[in-house]
Amino acid sequence: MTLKESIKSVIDVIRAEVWSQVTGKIALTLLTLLVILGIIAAIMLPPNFVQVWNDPKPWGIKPKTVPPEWASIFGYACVPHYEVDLRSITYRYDISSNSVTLRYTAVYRLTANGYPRDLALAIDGFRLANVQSIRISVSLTRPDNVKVQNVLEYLATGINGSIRIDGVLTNPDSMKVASMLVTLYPQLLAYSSVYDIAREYTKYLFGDLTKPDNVATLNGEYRVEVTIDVTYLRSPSRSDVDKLLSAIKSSTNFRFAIVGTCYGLMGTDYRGRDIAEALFFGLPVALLIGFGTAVATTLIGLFAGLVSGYYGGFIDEFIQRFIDVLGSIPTLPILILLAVAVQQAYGASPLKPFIMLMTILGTLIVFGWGGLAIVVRSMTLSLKAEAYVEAARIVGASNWWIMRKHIIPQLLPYIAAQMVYATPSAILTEAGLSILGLQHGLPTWGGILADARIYGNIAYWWWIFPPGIAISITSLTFVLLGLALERVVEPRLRRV
Amino acid sequence: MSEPILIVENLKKYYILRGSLLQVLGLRPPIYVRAVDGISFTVNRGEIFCLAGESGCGKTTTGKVIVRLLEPTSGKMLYKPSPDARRVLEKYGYKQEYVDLAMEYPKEVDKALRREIQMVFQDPFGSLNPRMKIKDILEEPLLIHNIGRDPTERLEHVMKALEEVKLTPPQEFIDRYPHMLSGGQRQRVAIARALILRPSLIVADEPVSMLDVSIRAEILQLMLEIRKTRNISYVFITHDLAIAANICDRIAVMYLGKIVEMGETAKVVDNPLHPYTRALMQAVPEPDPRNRLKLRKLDIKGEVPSAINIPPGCRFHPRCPFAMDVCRREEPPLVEVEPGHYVACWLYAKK
Repeated sequence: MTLKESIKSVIDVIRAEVWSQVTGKIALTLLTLLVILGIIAAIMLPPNFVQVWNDPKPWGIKPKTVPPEWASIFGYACVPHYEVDLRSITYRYDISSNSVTLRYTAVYRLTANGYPRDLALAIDGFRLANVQSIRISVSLTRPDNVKVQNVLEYLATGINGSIRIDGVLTNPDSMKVASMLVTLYPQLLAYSSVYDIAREYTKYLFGDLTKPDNVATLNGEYRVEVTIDVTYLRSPSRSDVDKLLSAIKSSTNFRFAIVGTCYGLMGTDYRGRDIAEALFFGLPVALLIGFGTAVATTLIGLFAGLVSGYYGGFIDEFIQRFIDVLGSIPTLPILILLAVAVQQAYGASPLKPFIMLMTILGTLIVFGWGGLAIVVRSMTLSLKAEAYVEAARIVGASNWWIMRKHIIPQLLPYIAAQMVYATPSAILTEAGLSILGLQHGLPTWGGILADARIYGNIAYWWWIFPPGIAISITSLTFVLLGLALERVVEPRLRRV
Repeated sequence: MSEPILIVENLKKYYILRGSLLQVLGLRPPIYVRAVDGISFTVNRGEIFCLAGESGCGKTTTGKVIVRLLEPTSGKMLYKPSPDARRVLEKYGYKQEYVDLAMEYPKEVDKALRREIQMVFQDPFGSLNPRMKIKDILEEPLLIHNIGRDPTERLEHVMKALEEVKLTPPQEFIDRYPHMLSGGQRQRVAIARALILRPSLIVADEPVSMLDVSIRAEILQLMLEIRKTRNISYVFITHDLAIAANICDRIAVMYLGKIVEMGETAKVVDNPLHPYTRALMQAVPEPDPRNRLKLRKLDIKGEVPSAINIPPGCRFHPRCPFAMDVCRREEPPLVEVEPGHYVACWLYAKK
């Protein structure tokens, strides 16, 4: 029996024994689904995802702790998040004697029974030379054709003729917006003060103000106009416009947003990060943690148990006592200790999350193979005493031959089941450790849950339940698979 | 008389018993289980040599030492290799006519020697891997020894071996698993596996004692036939003196790791001299129905002592009806009482 044949026989056994059961069918279907999704996610995973995830800048413009868009089904007043990326929409430009003006227009459709939270402008990594100043302003034309000028304004002056804008996130000056609204709708003052209007300025900015005593959402199309005014020391030419445009294009962020009260598929967390992204990209990580730990512990356990049981003597004694020592060391304090040490040593390094995760996995592997090795050893002890092993030795088989042909094939079903059971336990342990505070910072499911525990509360159900459900489904898959494999492991349940 | 193929000299196999901490540290002498305690015999080419005795007397251990599953504690096992093995041996500079199986050899020599001596086990249910097809079981020795260039050639060998043990047609058996065969068929497969390497010596460890009585004769017949066609020698291990009397050329009776009586089967069976052999002969079931109600009287009493506490002097003396003073003090030597008939008993040593 070659290795290929034994793999084939394993597949045959899976087909005959696992697929024939309902649990086996569910488990294999779920497993295939998870693996395919995991592979897709792994392919789509941006290379700097971890860095972006931990960087507050790109997420600042997003709404914080808002539920997913589909929450409106349950009657939640949901205003979807609206964003314009100025780097990719059309524009018009004007050149005057000492300035260049870029005008961007976009249409915002409001069809909800609520108000957006805020307006925001985010600029990052913007560089422009030989200019005096830049002024960015946003004006809004409401569906009732009233134009609110300069809802949002940002002004930057150049130092030595050059302008650098990094990590800027501006929101409207609510007092200014309020006084502007009062000028446009003087009747508002009869019912509320400017301060009240300023406090809830989006309600009035996006509200039907014909009945100021009872403001409702003004649904319809809002025209957003973003104007970028750049003042030059000399009179600008066409090439200056190109430079300005390329400066905008090459900036890392240049967006205007009408911040909604719900976001995307899965909502956001306390920093405005998209939970759906973390869930999706957390899948390959979870599978990797699970499979990686399971495969490593199983292989080490198999090898150690095999050597221990087969060769016996001093090496057996050594391995078994080593397992005893490992088994008597409490894993959790060691993990916490190592995690703190890594935190201290690599706290500033961008690789820290990765190193931390590897440390946790390494510790799980180091402490995880002992039990399997003991079982494999005892199985090997009984297998190597079989008459057919003696017969093979008389024929002249080498130790490796006997292990390969007579012992490992008999261990294989057990090993496979062991691996299946070890997979969810590794995922759960990783999640558990994250929740306990051993935060590695990677957007794993456990990591999301840990954030939710610290910064969230039970009201943020979109933050807590999805990762929990994802962990449960993954674990369930492997547990069901294990249950289905029980028949393979326990020959008395088998139908031969 | 033909030439000896195996000469065993003063073979011993002791097991150390791990006892107290003092013994582990070497402060107290270790305790040994003396499974085989200095036995000597010769097996001739084409001969069936029987090792008989009750369970625990060391006959299986002797067999396993001969096939080199176990390393002997001391003693020599001089084996005369076949021309094929001799060629390999000479390549490594072993020029003597007999090689000592108790020594260690380079890998290739070791393999060549293993090919010469094969074993048939008592339990045909345990000696075949339940997960392998008959084809794979029989192919394994060929693969290990690189016999046959390709699978088809090896399959031919397998078919021939199956035919030789009368499992015909072989096509019907090659794809079966051991659990699909009867006990007798399995033992035939086990014999085929032993034969497929064309050995010169087969150690058969109670090959029929786990089989149905009706099948025993067939298997024994098969083994006798194979001896005739191939001139193979057997070391036949059995506890059943009735079988031994039927098929053995020479017989050695073992008691507690020692040979107490040895000689040509006819002489030993018809004229058992040692009190233990006599007791064994008396225990053989009586085939004559007229004697079925006759009470048979056994001379010996008690149980076999443990191999850890072997009695001093003659190890049989506590159970022997003829025990004398000298029996309690000194071990009797194996003496030739008539040509080709040896006994280890003070009753005969004095003469």
